[in-house]
Amino acid sequence: MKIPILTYKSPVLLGAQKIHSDLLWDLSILFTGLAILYFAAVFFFRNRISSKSEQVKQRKKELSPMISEFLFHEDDAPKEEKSNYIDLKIEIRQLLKSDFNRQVLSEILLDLRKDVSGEAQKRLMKLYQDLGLHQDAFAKLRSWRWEVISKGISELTQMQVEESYSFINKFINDKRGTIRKQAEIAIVTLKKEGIDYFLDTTIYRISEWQQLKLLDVLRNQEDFEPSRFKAWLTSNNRFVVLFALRLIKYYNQNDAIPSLIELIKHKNNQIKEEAISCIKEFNVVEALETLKLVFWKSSVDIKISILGAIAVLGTKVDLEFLRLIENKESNFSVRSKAISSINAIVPGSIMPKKGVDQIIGNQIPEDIVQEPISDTDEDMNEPSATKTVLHSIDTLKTEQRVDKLIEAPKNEEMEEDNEKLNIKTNIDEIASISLDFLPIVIDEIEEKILKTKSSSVTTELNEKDISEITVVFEEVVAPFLEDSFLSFENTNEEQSSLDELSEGEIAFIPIVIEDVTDSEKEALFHEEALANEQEIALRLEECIEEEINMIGLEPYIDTDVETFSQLHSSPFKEEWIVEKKQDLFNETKEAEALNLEVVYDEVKIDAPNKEEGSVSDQFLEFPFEETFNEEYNELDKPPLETSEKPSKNVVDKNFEIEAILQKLPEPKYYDGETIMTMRLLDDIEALGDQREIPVLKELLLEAKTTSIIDRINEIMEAFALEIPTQPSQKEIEPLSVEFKPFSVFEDLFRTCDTEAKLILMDEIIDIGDEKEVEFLKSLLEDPEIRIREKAEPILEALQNRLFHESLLFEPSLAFIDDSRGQDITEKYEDSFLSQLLSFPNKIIEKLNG
Amino acid sequence: MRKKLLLAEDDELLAALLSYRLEKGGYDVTLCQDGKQMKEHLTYGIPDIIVSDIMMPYFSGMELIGFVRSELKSNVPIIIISSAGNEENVLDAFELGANDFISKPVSPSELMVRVARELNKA
Repeated sequence: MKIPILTYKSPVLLGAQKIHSDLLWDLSILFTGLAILYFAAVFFFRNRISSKSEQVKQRKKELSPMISEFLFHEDDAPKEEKSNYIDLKIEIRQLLKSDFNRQVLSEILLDLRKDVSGEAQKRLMKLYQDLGLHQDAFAKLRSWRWEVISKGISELTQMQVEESYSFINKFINDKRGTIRKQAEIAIVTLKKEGIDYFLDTTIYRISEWQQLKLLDVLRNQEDFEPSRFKAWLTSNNRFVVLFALRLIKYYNQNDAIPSLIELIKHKNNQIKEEAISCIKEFNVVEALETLKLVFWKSSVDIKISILGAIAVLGTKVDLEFLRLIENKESNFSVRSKAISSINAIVPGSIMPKKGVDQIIGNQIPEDIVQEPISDTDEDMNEPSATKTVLHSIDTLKTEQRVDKLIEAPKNEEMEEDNEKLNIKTNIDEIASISLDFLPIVIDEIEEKILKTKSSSVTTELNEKDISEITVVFEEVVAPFLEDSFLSFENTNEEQSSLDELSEGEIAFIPIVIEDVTDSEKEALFHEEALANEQEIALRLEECIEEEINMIGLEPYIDTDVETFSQLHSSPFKEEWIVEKKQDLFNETKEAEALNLEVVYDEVKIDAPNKEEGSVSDQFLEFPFEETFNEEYNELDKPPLETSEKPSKNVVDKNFEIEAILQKLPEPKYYDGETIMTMRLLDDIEALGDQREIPVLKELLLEAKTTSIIDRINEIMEAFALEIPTQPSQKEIEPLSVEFKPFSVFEDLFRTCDTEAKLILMDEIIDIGDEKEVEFLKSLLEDPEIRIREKAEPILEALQNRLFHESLLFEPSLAFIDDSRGQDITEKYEDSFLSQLLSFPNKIIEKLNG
Repeated sequence: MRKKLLLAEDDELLAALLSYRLEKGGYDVTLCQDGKQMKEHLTYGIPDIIVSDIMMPYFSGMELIGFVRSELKSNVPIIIISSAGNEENVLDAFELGANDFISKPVSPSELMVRVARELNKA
């Protein structure tokens, strides 16, 4: 066994444990190594971080101009800028492939988001999404690390990525507080209804700070319309209830009064206090009883809050409750609050007692007349409640005193004393001067005023503003209204003084009418209405006069019209006015008609020579005459009777009418079947042409009456006349151009080559018809010789085939003369049968069997 | 002729953004990262207008206003950029002789309008 060699010796009594030096060396080496490792790591990571930050900084410098370019690019930029912009787009696409660059871009945009506002900020957010950087933030939401998730939520919130709402709302009840709070803010920020969702779903505590932040988010939202937050007063989460109460208060939603009253009874003091605060804010008087009930079981803070609310909402009825608190409550703060509440309801009802100096035995200066102040001693010794009552009485007495002071000059005795009159005249001075030195006087102020010849007012009087004193003014009534409506209560002296006043002097006083009876009112109303009607009638007359003057004619004046003096005396004024209005209206109409008639007569009658007479004739023939007559008839008035003879024009007109009547054919009457046939013939005549001749012939054979036979013959003659009158070539040309038959082959020939055309031409012989005839004719002039050569025989073959077919299946030829058959067939190309014949031959073959 | 504008802003990104916008708006912009640089530039020559942040390293915006008004005896228009809720500094700046101010977050368009207005006044 190896014996360890000690390298040092320790004192015997006091010494440390012996450690082998090798161990010490080993330990030294270990710790040195660790230190080196530590420093190396620190150095390494420091360098790494700084180099990375340097890289980021450098990259930010590179990318920030690009971002600026994207942010401020305008569509109407010059071409150079546009091309540069396109290059940048390509470049940034390349850059986005690198995660590092994406990260840097995100950082740049998030930084700038904080520093810029307005349109630039909106563009920035759009750019963030356009570059697809929000996808990175979404990826962060899938991380297991809370800080990464929180950062992702924060990025999406800052950049207002609305589509992230549904992803973020999952984190609203996350166990990790940071994520949860970030999600709450995101939810409220991203959508306006986010606050509703948050209040509905959150089950966790909402801290005070968080509530403030959420409220701040809501305040800064544009066009935010708050929900009715009373809906969340029933939430199971008391923090939601508390927050809802605060929101209700903030948005002044005073529609939740019953819930607020209920919440005063809540166990939670915070909610209770907030509810009381809302009640105080919204002046919910109905809550007073509940507040009183809740009071005794509440904590001190709540009691103080309740008393504060009662001070605002309470009335004198609540004084008893407050006095009870004052007497029974042990807590000093509550008691003090109760007293202050009493004073708030009835100001000055409780006066300060402690530290107030008693005024008994104070020396009064000799130059001031001493007043007995016996009551004061008693007041000071009385209990506060009694004192309060007395004080109230004192206040009332003081008011009475002030009234008496003002009324004092009215008293005859007082009038005798000039000094006492000064009380009233110098009352403003009294109000402004401090009256503390004056003795307190309780009773019989009037007597004291008389005795002391000075103003004896209590200490409260100097506090009272003189403007608040009630002044009883004497009633002043206009004398000239005395007899008619008013009743006076004033003395004879006052009346006589008023009588002395001239009307002008009291013109400023409004006329006051009291207790007017119904009959008087009716009379007044009738008088007023009459005056209005008179005014209307006069105005109407003036207007008519003006109008007639403008026309240039004398008005039609009825000599029987009553004058306005008669009108006044008339018992049926209203009826008369209506009649008058109607007369005036008729008069106006007559005047208008008269005006036109006069012009007509002037031209006609006053023509002294032939020339003017000719002019007159021209005038009569002028078409305006008809218009005039129509207008005249519209006036709903019989033509004016004139002494002139009927005009020549009227006679000529009658002759013309007779001539026209003579030309009209005699009426013919048919039976039912004939009428139908005649109608059919009328239609054939109107719409048909020569193609209807066969039909007409059939009808002719069936015709029974001569009138029908005549009519058919007439129509057939008319149609027969149309046949030879062929339209000239010039007339046909435009039609043929317009309705040129369309061949399917023509369309095919446009696109295919020569070989294909030759093959198609073979097909024309079998399936072609009239349309292809024209087409083949056009091919005869085709530039390609092979087509030209082939077109000719095909055309012949087709024509032969068509001719044979037309002979076989043209039934209409049976009705046509043989001599004209060929020509007529050509002419009847547009008929129904010809159209049938234009069907493909295969169909015809099938029809033919 | 393009007006000379001296922009002092320590936030590089914001400075670059505002500089770009102002240049696009037709100004000849000289960018300074801190107060020291700005002072150096001002000693070489006074621009037509100065836009400066209040809080800057070495030499604050307030000192800059004092320097321009007291030492350089120049009436060049000065627009200061301040953070929101920094009203006291703004009032001090006005007392010292600033012509206008704009608060962060800055709207580049608003800055353009304010610059143009101050230049028109001058």
